Amino acid sequence: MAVEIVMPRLGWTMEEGTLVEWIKHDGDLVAPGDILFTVESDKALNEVEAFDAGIFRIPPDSDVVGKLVPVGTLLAYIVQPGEEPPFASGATSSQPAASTSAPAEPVPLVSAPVSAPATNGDHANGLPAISPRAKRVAGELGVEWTALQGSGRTGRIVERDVRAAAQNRPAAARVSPVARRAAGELGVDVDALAAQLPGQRITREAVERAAAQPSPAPTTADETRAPIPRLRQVIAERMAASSHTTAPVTLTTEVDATELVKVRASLKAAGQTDARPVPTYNDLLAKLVAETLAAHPQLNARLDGDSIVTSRAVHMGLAVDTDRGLFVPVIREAQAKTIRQIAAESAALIAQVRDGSIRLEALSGGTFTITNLGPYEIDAFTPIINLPQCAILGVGRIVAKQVVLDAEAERVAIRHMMFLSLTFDHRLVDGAPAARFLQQIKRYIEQPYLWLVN
Amino acid sequence: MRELTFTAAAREALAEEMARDPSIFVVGEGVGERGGNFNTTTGLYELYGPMRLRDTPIVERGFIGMCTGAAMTGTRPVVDFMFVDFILDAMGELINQVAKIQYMSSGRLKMPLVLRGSIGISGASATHHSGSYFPMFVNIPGFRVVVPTNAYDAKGLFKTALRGDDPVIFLEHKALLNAKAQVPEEEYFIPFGQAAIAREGTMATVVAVGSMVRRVLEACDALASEGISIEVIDPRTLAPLDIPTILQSVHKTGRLLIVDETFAPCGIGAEIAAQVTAQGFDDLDAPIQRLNGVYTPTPYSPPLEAAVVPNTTQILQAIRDLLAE
Repeated sequence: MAVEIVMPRLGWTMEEGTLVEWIKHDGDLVAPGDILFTVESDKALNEVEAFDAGIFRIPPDSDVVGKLVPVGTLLAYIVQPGEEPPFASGATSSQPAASTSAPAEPVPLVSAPVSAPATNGDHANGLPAISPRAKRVAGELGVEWTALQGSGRTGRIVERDVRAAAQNRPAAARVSPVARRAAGELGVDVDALAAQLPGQRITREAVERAAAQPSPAPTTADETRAPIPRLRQVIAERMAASSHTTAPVTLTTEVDATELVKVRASLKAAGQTDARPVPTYNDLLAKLVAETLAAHPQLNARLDGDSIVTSRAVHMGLAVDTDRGLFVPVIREAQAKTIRQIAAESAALIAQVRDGSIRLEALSGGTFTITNLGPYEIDAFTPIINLPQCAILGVGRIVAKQVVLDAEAERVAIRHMMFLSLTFDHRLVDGAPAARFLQQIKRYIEQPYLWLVN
Repeated sequence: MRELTFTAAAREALAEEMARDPSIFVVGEGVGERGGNFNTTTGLYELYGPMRLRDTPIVERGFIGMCTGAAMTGTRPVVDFMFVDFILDAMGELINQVAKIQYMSSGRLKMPLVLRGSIGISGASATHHSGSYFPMFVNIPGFRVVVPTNAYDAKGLFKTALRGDDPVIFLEHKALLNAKAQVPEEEYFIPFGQAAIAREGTMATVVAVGSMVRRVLEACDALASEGISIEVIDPRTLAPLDIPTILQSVHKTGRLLIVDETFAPCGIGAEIAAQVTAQGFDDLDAPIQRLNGVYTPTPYSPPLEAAVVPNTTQILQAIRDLLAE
């Protein structure tokens, strides 16, 4: 039954009052205790609260704002979802309520408490109220309910709120009853619409706008549509976060890797008679970059709130491609390990990544990342920083080229050349120190004995 | 299939059992040649005569006492109270003897006594002829309390009552007596303690008692056109009470309303609510609600009488309120 909202008598002698402002508007959902409007009387401004829950309805022809009206003047209604306010019954903003109130209907004894229910959040333990069923369903579906917004009459979390949260769609409470009815009439999927407009209350206007728009293009015969796999979703979120939050700059330099090729060749030759894994270029690079980072700690850092955290230990991430997507297993304390140890560890980690047995700890906590696209004949590229790290080194292919050794003597030679692409976060480090870091790596690749003897 | 009124179906059950079992006899005011105030025995006097259709003076306690003794000796008395309000004059015999005799005799004595009478608010019968009282009987261990709501159930439940060895309070709502339903020719029994799902639904459960079943079903028809799906349960017997069926329904819907014409305090709704809360707490998505008749002696004035019984508008509102919880 519609509840009539009238100009209240706010003092014993008050005969009339001025409605200053509607605080709630036509179609708003109201709960007991919500401020509906303000009234000026006897030079004081008063807030008028709702005593009932429902939808606030102001007659469309209401012109009462700013006018002095007698106490008891019918101003608005609170109706229940699906209920039409009795505007048509001749109730206008200037009619006193008494002329429109119907004879009281006989009320049966309903044994529900009639006192105003406690609103949600008033509980001693600080948690929102939740129905026993909703709590059970939350347990079954693994939904964390303490932060949910309940849609029960008193703000209680009920089953539908938990199920909505489980489906990752916003709670039904965000959709106004009017909008829900309009959606039914217009054939709009109101929950899908709510999911597209996170944090917004879905009104009838939004539903009508959605109804006017064409639905998303259906897939054609030569397209397929599939839900995003979980790993892809994680990668997508992290890449987008990196791209949106960092200030990435990529430096590229060409390096003479001839000496490194020799080191690797000798190791490989020796490996013929050795059961241990032969160190790969990645292992050699991991070690020499770890050595370089020890001298350039500002690149081995991360942004954490208001502070920059610099790590003495180098936890080296190695980007690994798998059937399931990109993984970055981490070699801990790479600066303190020998090349042999790094080689053994990286071989094990890569095997675990490929067969899916890798543990989460082995995929987190990196302080720097190396990504190598050399095997795919890529020279230079612009890697994306692996947050929260500061920088990432992209390694290109090693290719034999004719290079000028001495311009004066017009001497050229065939050398093994390689591009390095360093992307760093300019928020944390400037261009010159980053360039010096890359230059040091270049030196170490060109003269491996400089770091091999360390 | 043929259709019978509630009264005719119950009478047919009585006639079938009287023909089968000569130890059944009926006692009450006007049950003989007159055929009963509500036609409960019409035509039976011609068949079985005054020995088995015994008119009595207006002395409820006296003829209840005699029938209690008769039942102890192995016969099967049916006491017809016309209005069950009159049973109150015999409460001492009923509670202290009828309900307790099997217990006091360690089961050596049986008490196959059927006590029948009309109940409920209907037709300006005023307060001395409008009571239902079933919560009182449910409260006493020993009684079976049966409240049929249609002709089919009336016959099947009355047959079960006439075959059992326990005292049965068989309550016939005045507003339902002339309502017709399909009743098969073949013999059938409806066991006690088995509720009927009068309507299947998913969004809330309404347990309706007596004449409220029909009103709740009408309300649910109206709600169905809005896409609101309500499950309606008719317990049919209040002792024993089929709590498992109600729990199963609440497990599905999460919401429960009990609609009962009789008074709320200590009523059947309170009992159902307590048991469902205790056993089905984790299924509840909203507080259990009750809709009862007004807690007052029943007025004679027809408009006032109508005002004390839950009507369809109030039932609709109670269901909407429950769904909004």
